[in-house]
Amino acid sequence: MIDAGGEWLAGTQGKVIMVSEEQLAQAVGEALSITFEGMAFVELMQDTEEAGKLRSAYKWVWGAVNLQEPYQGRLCVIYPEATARHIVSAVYGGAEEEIYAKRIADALGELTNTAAGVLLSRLVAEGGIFSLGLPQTGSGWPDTAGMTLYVFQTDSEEKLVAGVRLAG
Amino acid sequence: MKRVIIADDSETARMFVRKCMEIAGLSGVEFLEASNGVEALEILECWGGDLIVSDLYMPKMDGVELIRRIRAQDKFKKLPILVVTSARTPAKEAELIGLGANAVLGKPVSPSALAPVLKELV
Repeated sequence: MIDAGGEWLAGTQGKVIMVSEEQLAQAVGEALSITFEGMAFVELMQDTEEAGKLRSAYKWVWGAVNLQEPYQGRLCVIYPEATARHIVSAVYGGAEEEIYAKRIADALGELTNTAAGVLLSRLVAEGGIFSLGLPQTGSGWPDTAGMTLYVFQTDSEEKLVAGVRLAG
Repeated sequence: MKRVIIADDSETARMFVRKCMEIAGLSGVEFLEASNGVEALEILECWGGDLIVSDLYMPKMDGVELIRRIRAQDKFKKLPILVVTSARTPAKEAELIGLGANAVLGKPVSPSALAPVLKELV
């Protein structure tokens, strides 16, 4: 939920804390950068393009993880099909012939799960713990209602979108 | 030959941990993979193991229950257990060490993070 002041309201161990839009944007950027550089050796930069304008330009696939405690919400990472294939291929060491649909889905789930962990590690209070749901994946543009969307560009100029919903 | 059991419901995560361990210098090792805690226990009972590397969130049996079941058996009291999880915080690490894990690393794991842990555990 977002309040009139533009800040996300989030609960942690019964205590409501405030996460500003800037803090959330920075945490999402760090989470995706650390995950994609660490697992796929792909550098990401935040992009100023609007996600809505990209939506009709590609066929999309996605990975998502529900955030369970202390925040209830969702992180979704949405890729053009070709970008997903390139990134998963990089995770698997560049062997394109070994990249089949089931493996792409598994890798997108694991990338999102990892990014969600890095994201929450930056948002929980000191001494706090958090928990995540099991990863989900799919094709087409996912339900992003209530999410803030961030567009990123890879070092090979491919786009991807991260959507976050965070509530206490 | 030493035997490392990697438990994670993601094939990608298992491959990635294995690759990082190899880059970190772990050689002459047989890797056995399990997609949940039940499979990991079956492999451990059947084949034995020198190191368990486990995720936390897995279907059928999660990492916490896997640690409990392993530590409940006298013959596995000293078996090294490394948890690799996306949900690592200092508080969670302390909780897992208290349950019987020997070390906890956050995802994404890296060869440089694994190297000192492997040196200590294997």
